[in-house]
Amino acid sequence: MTDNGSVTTTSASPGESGTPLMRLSGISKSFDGTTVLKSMDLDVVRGEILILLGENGAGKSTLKNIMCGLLAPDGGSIEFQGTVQTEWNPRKAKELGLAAIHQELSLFPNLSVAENVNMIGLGNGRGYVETKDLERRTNAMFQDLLEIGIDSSILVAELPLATRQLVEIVKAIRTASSVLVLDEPTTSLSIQERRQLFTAMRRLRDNGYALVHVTHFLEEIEAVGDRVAIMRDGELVALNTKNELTVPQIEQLMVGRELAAVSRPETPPHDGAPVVLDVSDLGDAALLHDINLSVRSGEVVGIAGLSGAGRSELMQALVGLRAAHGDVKLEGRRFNRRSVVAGVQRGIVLVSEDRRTEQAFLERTVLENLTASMLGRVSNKLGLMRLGKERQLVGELIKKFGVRTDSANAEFGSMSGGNQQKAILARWLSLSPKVCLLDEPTKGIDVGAKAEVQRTIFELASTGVGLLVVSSDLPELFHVSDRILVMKGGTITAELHRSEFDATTILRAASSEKA
Amino acid sequence: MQRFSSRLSPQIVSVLGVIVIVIVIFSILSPGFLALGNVSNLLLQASSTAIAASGMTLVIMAGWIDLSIGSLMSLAVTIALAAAGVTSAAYGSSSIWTYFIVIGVSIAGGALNGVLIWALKVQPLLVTLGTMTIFSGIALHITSAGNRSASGPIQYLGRAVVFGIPLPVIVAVVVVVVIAFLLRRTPFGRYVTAIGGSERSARETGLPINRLRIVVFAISGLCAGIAGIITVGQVGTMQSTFGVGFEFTVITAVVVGGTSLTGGKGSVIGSALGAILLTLIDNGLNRVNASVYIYDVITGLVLLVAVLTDSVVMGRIRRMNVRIRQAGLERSQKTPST
Amino acid sequence: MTSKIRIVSLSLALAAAASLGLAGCSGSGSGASTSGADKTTIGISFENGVGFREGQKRFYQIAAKKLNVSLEFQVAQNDAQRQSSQIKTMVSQGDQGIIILPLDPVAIEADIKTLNTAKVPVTTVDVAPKDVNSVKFHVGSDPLADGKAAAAEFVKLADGKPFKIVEMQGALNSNTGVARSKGLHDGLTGHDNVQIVSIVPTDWKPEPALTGIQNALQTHSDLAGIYLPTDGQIPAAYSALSAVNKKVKVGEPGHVAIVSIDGDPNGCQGVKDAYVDLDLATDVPNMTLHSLQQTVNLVQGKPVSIKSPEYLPSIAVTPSTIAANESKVWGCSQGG
Repeated sequence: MTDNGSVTTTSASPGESGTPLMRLSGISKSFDGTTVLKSMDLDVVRGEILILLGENGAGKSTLKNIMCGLLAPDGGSIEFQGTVQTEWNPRKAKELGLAAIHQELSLFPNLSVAENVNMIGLGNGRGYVETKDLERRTNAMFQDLLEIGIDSSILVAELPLATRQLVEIVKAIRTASSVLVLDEPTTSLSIQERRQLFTAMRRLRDNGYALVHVTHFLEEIEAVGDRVAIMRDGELVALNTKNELTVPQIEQLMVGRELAAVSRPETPPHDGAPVVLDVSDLGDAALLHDINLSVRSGEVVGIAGLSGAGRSELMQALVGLRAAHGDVKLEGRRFNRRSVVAGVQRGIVLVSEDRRTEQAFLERTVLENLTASMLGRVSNKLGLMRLGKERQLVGELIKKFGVRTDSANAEFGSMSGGNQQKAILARWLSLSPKVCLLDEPTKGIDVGAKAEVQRTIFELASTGVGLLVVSSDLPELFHVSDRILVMKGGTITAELHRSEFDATTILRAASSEKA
Repeated sequence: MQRFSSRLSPQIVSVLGVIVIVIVIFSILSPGFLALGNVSNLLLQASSTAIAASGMTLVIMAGWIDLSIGSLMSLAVTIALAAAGVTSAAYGSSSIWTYFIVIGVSIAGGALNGVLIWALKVQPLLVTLGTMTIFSGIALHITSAGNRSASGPIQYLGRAVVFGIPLPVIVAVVVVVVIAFLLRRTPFGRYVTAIGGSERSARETGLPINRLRIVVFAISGLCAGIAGIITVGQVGTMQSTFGVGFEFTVITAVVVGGTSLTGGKGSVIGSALGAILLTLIDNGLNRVNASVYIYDVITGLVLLVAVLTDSVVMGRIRRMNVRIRQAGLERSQKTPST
Repeated sequence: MTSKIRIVSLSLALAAAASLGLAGCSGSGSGASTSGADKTTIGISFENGVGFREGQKRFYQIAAKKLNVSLEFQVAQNDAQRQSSQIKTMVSQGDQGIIILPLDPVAIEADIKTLNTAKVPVTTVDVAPKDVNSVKFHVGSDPLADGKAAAAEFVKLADGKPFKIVEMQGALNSNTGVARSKGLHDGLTGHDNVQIVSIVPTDWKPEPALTGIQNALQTHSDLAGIYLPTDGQIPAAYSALSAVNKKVKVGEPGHVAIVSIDGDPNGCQGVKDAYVDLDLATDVPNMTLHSLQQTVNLVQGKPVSIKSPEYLPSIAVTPSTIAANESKVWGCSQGG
């Protein structure tokens, strides 16, 4: 925020151009013997947006955490405005005007939007909080920064994920006065919201901020980047201005090898294949209404739509996580008393969008997480666990889904985000489902992992599983789907077959006034 | 339509509802239950619990727990009486300094909890379980498990009556109002609430969690100390069992008052009402000459009802809010963007 | 990882806590036991928590001096299992005889059996084991008789007229508490003019007694008597009575009768000050002396010289008889 920026000396005195605002030199870090960062050097420059790219596990998150003071590096130094910082912690970083948007939102669900955004300096100098005033100022902040109207008295817990991400963004921008670090801030945003965020980012850059943007979306380099830093295996492998590298070059630098293009085996599902999922007149009290769809065995049906269109809600309704009326048939048999447990028995599983927080036990081991939904398969008739069998099965899964972890007994939360997602996918897919609902299966994971997930989708389809895939990534949907359904306002507004796939048609169906 | 302020009123409404039901039942069984004298009695008897529950509300709001308050209040009063030269059940008297010592020891003991949690990096549950044993151990060591007379100035706070209102009730009202204000209207209170919402977010946001924790536990200790002076002053004697189990009474009052044990949601007023509900049950059962064997059963049942009512009411309101919010979303989507 | 350090530091903290607690419990008593290695050592599996136990302990020490034996107290902190393991510890340490204050009359039988098999002399005090003949000697008070004596006092005070009393119940998990209540109720049967308006569970604590008496006074303005199962609750009764200006001496108009049991310093003083109508003082001096004496007899291979079980009658004192009986009431002696 400009009014905050003017208070601190950093933005008031722009400093000599050329000297970096923040300089990381020789930063190294390892966890339990595993080296995550190897002597990283990185300069963060005023008035520039630096895009930080890298596969999952490349060390981006660790670097980001070190920049924000959340982690102390094992070696190396951090300079801020030419001064070496001996004690670098979140408070110090904050004092110097550094703010960050974390991938896992650092919001307080039990507090209002206004309180979240203004958490630091709540009293505004006074000893008490003026709620009404706070809310008014916050509403204005959303309008100024992102041109979004919001009622900031609402509790964050009541907001959809995308709006929460916007709150996180505004919260960070408000406290930033020199450096803003954004760790994959766009993953759950709609195209429109992304555009607004990029506008805000450019404005901050022009006001002399240094921005570090961690992302997976290569197109965002073009949209908002000035410089690109690519990390692989804890090292900086490339640092270029934005137009120096082509997309294939970048991908190769990230992965370290040529990406084998994953393509769908040319076996379009026969119209005669049995229908495995049949939904008629599904609706709920709040959002969903008049939903009719069917998925055949071996078919991949994509679901497109803007955030808030009810895509995740539909997925939840199908497995009983959300109360709904209407008929759902699995392999021709009614499935109207829906619950996750019953669903697993009947062969329908949901891998949810917020799978890390909703479906993982972060403090338990990888092994326990993987077998949490199939303890029946790894226990004997007496209900006792067959530990040997469990270990063997988990070993197979880890290999099959390419989960990178030190051991099956490592803490789940210690793995990188992408590997956690692969592990959760592995858990559900190992149940041999008949119908598989994937909600944003590749959200927030890198190109390498993305290809693996897509390959998994094809493999499942080839074994006769019917898949319903929600994705905000249109190229991905085009790539994996046999058919695409477009949702808007809680119902399906368009259906496109492979030959009709077209971004404009979909966007129109997703955002037009009347379907 | 107005959005419900889902932070305070529903919980209070539900505990008030249970209180009204309990009052109606006891009024039928025992006429005069609501007589002025008995109401004054009730408030007097609820005051210690309400005071300690106010401090505990801060702790639980932040997602922590303090099991040491019963032992701490016993230790604080024990040290204060020993310093005043009280050596037995029949010998010695307190002085005005007793108050300062109790308050000093209880704040220090509470702050010690906060420091230990920070230094040992162990959950508050385990640390306060440890200090609970330590505090009561020291107290036992001082008294050799003997009774202590609590005569003299220490009785003023528990027994004085101001304008016809028992002083403990006035103290309780002041403490409840001050801590409710702290929690609801000051940055400190919002920080505490925020920590209860997500300690990880609080750390990433850069809230001074360790300092806040020390302050919160010190306030909890202070409240327990005040409750201790009042109780000991009222009773006029201190046994070595003093304070044993008090933490559970207080935590129960807080939870019945609608504060979530996982933190982030609750109110001080609710906790005070929870304390009143607990007192109502005992008072009512005393009045109707209930069998000693069913006290625990009735108390347990009423508490279950209170907690259930709270979750049912909250569930309703949450669903209602979701509906309102979604209606709002639909409206906003109808207005064309860009 | 760090969790190990946490566990270690926590267990250190707990160990410190436990040792402090133990130090507090054994306190002054255990000091005597360390002296004189050739003296007979008697282990006493004991309980603390209320002032009454401290009185008992003090008189055990007086008796030990008289009989020239060492004592070793172990405090079970209301945990029957801990009591069992503490008894085993005392045997392994070589204590020649064991005196047990049973926490659980049934569970203790197993320990007594073990001691009998091992030929370690064992006696019980205060609370009898379920089969009192499993020990060669048991000495205790007579809680049933105490309750009855309290009832008789209320009946006498009522003198045939309506008389409302409130009863504090000791503790439902304590034989003594239950037996005292039963004695009171048995003694009042057939005297319908004496009415118990409320029975308040107190767990021997003064705090619930205070609210219980407050409530009784509030509900029944004509409350005539208060029954206390322990003298520890006398200050609570005073407090409740003072608040409604009814703390009046025996014999003066408006007096509310107080009958209490134990004979601790509060009780002694209460009777002397004439606020307490009747205090049933447990014969702690004789109880501890007999208990220790007979245990020593067994250790020395002699037969017990008192018929077991021995139930010592309490010493009933009233404002008019206290002067003559002061020396017999344990709570009247200095240091109680």
